[in-house]
Amino acid sequence: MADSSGASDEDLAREAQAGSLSSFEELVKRYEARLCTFLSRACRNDADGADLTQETFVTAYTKLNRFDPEQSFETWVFTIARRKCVDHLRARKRLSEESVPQGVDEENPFELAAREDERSDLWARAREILTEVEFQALWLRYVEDLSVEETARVLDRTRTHIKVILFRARTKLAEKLEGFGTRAGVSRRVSAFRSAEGGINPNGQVIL
Amino acid sequence: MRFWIKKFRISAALDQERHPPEQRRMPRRSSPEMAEFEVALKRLDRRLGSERPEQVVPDGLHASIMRRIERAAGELEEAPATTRFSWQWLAVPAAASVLVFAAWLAVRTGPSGTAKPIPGHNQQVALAASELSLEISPESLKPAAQAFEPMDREMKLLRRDCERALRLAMASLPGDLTLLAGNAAKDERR
Repeated sequence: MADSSGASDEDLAREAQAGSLSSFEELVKRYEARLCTFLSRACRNDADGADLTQETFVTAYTKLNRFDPEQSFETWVFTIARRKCVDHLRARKRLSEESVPQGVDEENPFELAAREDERSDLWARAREILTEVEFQALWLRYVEDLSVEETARVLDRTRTHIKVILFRARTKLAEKLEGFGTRAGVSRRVSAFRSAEGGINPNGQVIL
Repeated sequence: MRFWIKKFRISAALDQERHPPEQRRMPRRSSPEMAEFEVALKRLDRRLGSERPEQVVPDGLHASIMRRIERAAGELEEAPATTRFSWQWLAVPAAASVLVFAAWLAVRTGPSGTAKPIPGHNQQVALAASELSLEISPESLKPAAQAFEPMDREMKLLRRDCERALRLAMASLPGDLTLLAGNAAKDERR
């Protein structure tokens, strides 16, 4: 077997299209952790994230002949993962509408500790505050380092739409996490801004 | 609306991929609120970029993914043969039904595309109906005649086959019996 560790994702995908299972396994190794983390966070459930990661790879393998190696494999596989997530959340929403909602046990110390951990985790807070698509756009942009164009391709939207979604997401997070928009936050930020040395450059831009 | 556009431009400036964060061109701030928004957004941008979540992969995930992929690969190898088989055999009944339909259409309609009238058939039916005390005119029987036309043709062919079979049977009989059988056949036809 040839060493495939240095090959690009697209080359590996091309080899997998030709029937090489080991090349596809290399792609699985490269993406399983990233996809699992993305899906677990987007679904807010680790077990669901792992299941959806498996389903994503199975779908990717069975539809591999449809992948164009001239395009980015990363964008393609994240598009599949994102669709799996959307389907899963829709199904879960239907189920939760039918079943009785479960309350949080305020007496359970483990549950309280887990909630405290979530509060301190920026991305967990972001998932709580943002809508599904806002969270996904923000994740792809910051965690996966995708460009606006690639994010637009994964989320099946235009670039301008992605910019608007990112703007909304940032504004919401700035309000909730940075205190922007709240009275206390405004006074705190303005005073900090005024007292900051070299806060404005000659072009009138803010320097942090 | 003006503020919204300004805030949007501040946010969009964070997505300028070509420039490193410190060189990104931010729109000129026009009010303390915009400045505050810019500060908050830049701080958030840095937090989002630096506070990367820990990657958590459950034990055995890779193995279970590969197991499912190997199973899917096995199914894929079997699937093309099944698909070819079904397509091949789907074409045969489709072609046969087209042929049957074309033959039926050819029998049903004449060379000009209309149903072939059988001379004297309507009068025969009308005569038979009058014997059954039914008042049916030959004109009103047109559709019925058309419907029975294929059966009529079949009847004629059947009669012709019977006559041929009878002639063959008579020819195969010994000499003295042939005369006897011929007379019997004539009686039967009469």
